[in-house]
Amino acid sequence: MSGRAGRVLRAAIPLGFLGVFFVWPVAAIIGRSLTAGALHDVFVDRGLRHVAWFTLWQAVAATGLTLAVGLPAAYVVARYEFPGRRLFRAFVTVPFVLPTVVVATAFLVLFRPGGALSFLGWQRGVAPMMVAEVFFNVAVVVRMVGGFWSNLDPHRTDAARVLGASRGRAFREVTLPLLGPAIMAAASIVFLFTFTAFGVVLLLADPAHATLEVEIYRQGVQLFDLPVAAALALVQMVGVVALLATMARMQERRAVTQRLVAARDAARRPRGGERWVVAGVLGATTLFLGGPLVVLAGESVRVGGSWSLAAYRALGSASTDTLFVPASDALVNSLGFAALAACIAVVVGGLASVVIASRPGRATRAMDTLLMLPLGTSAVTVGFGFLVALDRWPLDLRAKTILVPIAQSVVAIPFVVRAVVPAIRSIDPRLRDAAALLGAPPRRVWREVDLPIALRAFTVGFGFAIAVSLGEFGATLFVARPDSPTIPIAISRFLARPGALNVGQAMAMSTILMVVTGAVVLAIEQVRVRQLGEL
Amino acid sequence: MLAVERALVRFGTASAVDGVDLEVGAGETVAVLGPSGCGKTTLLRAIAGLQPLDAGQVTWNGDDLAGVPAHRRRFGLMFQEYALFPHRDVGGNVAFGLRMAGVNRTERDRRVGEVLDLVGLGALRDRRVAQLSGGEQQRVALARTLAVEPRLLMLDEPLGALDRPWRERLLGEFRELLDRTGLPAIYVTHDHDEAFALADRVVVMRAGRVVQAGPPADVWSRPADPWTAAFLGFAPPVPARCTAGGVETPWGVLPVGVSGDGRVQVVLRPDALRLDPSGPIAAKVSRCSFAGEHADLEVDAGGPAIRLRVPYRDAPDVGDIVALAVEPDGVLVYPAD
Amino acid sequence: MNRSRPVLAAVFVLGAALAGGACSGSGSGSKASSKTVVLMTHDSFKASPAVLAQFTRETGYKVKLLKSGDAGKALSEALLVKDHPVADALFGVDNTFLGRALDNGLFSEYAAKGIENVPARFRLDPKQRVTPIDHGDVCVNDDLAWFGHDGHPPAPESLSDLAEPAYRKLLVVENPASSSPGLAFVLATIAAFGENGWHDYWQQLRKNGVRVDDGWEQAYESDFTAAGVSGDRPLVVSYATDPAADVVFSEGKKKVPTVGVVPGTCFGQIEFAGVLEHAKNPAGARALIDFMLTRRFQQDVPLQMYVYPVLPKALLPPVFTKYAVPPARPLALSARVIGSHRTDWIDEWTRIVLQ
Repeated sequence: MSGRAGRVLRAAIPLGFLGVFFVWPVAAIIGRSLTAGALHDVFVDRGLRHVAWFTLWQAVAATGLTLAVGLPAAYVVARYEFPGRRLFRAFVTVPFVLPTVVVATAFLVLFRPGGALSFLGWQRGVAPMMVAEVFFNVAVVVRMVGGFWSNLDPHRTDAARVLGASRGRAFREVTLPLLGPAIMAAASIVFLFTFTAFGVVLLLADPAHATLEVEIYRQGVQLFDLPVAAALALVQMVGVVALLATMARMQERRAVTQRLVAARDAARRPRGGERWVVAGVLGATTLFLGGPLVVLAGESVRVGGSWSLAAYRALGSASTDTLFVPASDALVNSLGFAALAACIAVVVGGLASVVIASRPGRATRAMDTLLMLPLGTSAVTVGFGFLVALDRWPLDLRAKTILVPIAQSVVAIPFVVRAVVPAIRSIDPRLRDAAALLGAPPRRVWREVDLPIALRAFTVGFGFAIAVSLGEFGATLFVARPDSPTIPIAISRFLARPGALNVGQAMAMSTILMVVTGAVVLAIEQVRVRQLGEL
Repeated sequence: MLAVERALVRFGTASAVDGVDLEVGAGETVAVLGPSGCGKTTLLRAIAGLQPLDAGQVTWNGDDLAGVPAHRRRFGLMFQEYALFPHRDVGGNVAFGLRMAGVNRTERDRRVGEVLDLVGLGALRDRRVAQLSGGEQQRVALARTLAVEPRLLMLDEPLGALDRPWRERLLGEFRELLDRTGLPAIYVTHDHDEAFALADRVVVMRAGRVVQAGPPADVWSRPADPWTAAFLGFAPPVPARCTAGGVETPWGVLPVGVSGDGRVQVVLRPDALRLDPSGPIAAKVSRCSFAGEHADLEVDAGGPAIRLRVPYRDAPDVGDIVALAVEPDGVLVYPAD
Repeated sequence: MNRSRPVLAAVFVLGAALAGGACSGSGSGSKASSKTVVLMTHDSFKASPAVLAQFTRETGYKVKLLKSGDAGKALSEALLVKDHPVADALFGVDNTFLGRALDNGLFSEYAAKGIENVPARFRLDPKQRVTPIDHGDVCVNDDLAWFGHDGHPPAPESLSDLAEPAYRKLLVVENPASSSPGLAFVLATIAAFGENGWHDYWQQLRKNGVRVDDGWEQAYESDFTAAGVSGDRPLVVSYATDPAADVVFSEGKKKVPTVGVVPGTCFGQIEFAGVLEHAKNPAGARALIDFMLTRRFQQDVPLQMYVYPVLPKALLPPVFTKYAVPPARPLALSARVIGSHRTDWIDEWTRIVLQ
């Protein structure tokens, strides 16, 4: 609207940023290493086909399980009013933004011999890995489907009931088809996350089971077989791009139907038997999601079998030789990096969102897909790509601290875009016309109309970006320098060291990180716009 | 003042506005009347500068406005469903244009109060717009448009979303307002009663084209074609033939001065027939419905049913045979298709 | 009129302030100068601050450490950026990965001062592109408090014993694809049973319920009975120096180690350092490698990284001389043989043990 130059600039900044800090590094590493022989190796000689197969089926299974666990909770949150509803919604989101290291640690503690769930005999393997994946992604289902569900007009179900449909029939014939797109969208996001799972697989699965992402790590980092790693990365990206393209298309369609939906909350207090259903679902979900967190926090105040705050005290001391700096510095680093990363992500992602939301079409859909791509690209590929691509002036950033927030912002941008695009799309274009007719020049229109209305979405995106950056592990692992570790890096270093106090410190830092991310999520909840299609 | 010449707006291959001419003189209120989808909103947007013209031009006092963006035209447009800013309260909405114009705060506050008083909403200044009723929102939208003292006022279906009592009340207020301010205005509506009640001149649009323009009385008494007549609520046309004594219709020969002979179509204006014991047409009352001080009759005089409105106290009973007299001026004759 | 705006503004300001603080705080240290030597190494590298300070005093160079993950990842990173290295020297390539580093031309030749004092068996590269710094042995460790008590069998005494039914479900090893000790142990079995015999051995181990973990931490810290509070395997692939470490890490609670070494299971590892090709500060890198061969540094090595110095004259700490007995004849394979077969062996092992 503010002329062609402005539009080009708005598109150029995010594309440039992603181009330099994502596309170029990834293309560099793949382009440099990929050979036809490696592709042949992957599929024929080296028997790596089973890795692709395992990646696929575990993602499908984990997605199904996540829906099974998440849909009842989504229903209860959407349809019933109960004390602490908002808190519950925030609480459900906490696992989603927790660092993998923390979650994997929590489940290791639960499943290990002597742990609360040791009787399952799931110490390491596919089962605990799936449980952790479900644990991570329940939030996606509850938030996306629950959000949509709470805006569905219950009168439609009433209409079906009046026309003679039973409760179940009305659900199947009316509610379910209407929920379909939201369920599909949530399922595709869960699928995306589980398809590219890294940390939980690496830490919880047995060595016989590897996803593509883990195999890329093994081949690239540990065996230095870059051609094979590049081939695997390519296979993974093709799958992810296909999925993202479908999702972008679906989202555009959903933005249209969104207006048909009454944007009002249809929740009410549960009556009679419903009370038991609500209590049961809430109880089970809270136990599943809260149990591991409680165990983790409990473990942090037990050092060597007795209750003690020694681990927390040790965090503040400068004498730790595991890190080069006091652990409290890692907290400061993490907060600083996350804040900077979130600022970058909001600016870059915000500009991109404006472009994507303003003109639907093939070009913007491609841009949308590109911006989502970092979610589905292996950290190894990006990390090695940084090393290979950013090695020349003016971009020799390899040893620079700024690379950490940049890498984190690349991962955080998709979350900003997903929060902001629906908000901007939902703005009535006549508001902009009205502002123009009242004398507002184009740039002023943006400032007076789009920005304030989308402000809450921006805030939500900013909060998610902070949470995601705080927990980011994969990419940070490659770019963080020893004198400026982040909390997840510090946790992994503590875990890698012998001694009860080191393990205790890992738990303590995990607990701190959990509390910080929880606080961020709760803050998001305070300002969140009730809208569709956001995470 | 405003002149639109041969305006053309295309969406893909379809023309939403197709060679429209329109003039609005000083202090004149022009109603653009047409069914939904006829291009009237697009025409407004083109005048406002929100929609570029594919051909033709919009001028103000002879100056071409092609290079003037919407925010510099100083035209006020009140949107259908108002487009109030949800993130600002009533005062904030009304003050918006003044802020854009750089009016200082004191002056702004004064002016906002003044305009809100004008529309009778002085007390609701700090209210959030979502908390207002439809009629109140409409007045806020009007106040917001008027606050900047536009040189042209455009209203897009301003009463469309309102309940009947509000509509009638606001229609009167609009009229008074337009008279008082002397603003040239374009009033877009699909409701001919509104258009006739308010406008100095009515422009009827159909499928992007102007089919008729003129004072309300002219448009009503002489619709340009059967479609316009039907749009104004007149009965559907019936086939007829010109004869020496008038036109021959299924109800007999109606005494209308026509020349030539051949096939034509006839539309009866609602005032074409009246109850008259000495009238030449005999008809049987098949339905009589109560409409306040009037009764709407449907009578059978052989041929298609005829509708007419009579004072309630004169209403016959269903089944009565009545005699009808013809008002020749009310018989509209159009060429056959 | 709009309550959320000041909140957001505050968040942005706070964010910017935090970010600015973090960057200026850590940015000051990242300035490279010719008086700084950047040493790229793995996460396990440790040296006493006093020892590094002495290096600075003697040479004027400050050491900046670039810890880049485990040994495999550090080497991979170094190889990827070898034309524009981010460091001047690299420490932490061992004999299992040496071939890869040398074949890719990662290091420039340098005859370190005092290299002649290092025994020939550690000097694997005749062209002297790498300098041996320390050595150690990967062995199967046993939990001395477990074996022979509570009706448990006596401790195993050889590689072959591990495949016996008596030791069913007692051994945990690391995946050679992801773990350096894991790879060393596989190499030990290849050295012991020959290129044709090791497959059978691992098939037996698999039948005997060997557990495979991804990394040493998992295996030792959580699965090994002697270390983890909840471990369930009394045999683990770890290091020959663990008995000493066991005493040191108990912080006075243990006077004697409860961890032992199963004889005949050890594979020798030698760690090397080298000057990187295209280093910005090759002189500093050479000085640092010289320093790593001095007695001061060599004597610091045992208690920092639980490995042995390569310099025979270096004195060992008492806890080492008392508890850490270097294996008499560790198993070995030449770096060349390892280099040319490593990938195939790991693939074959994966097929035998994991699939």
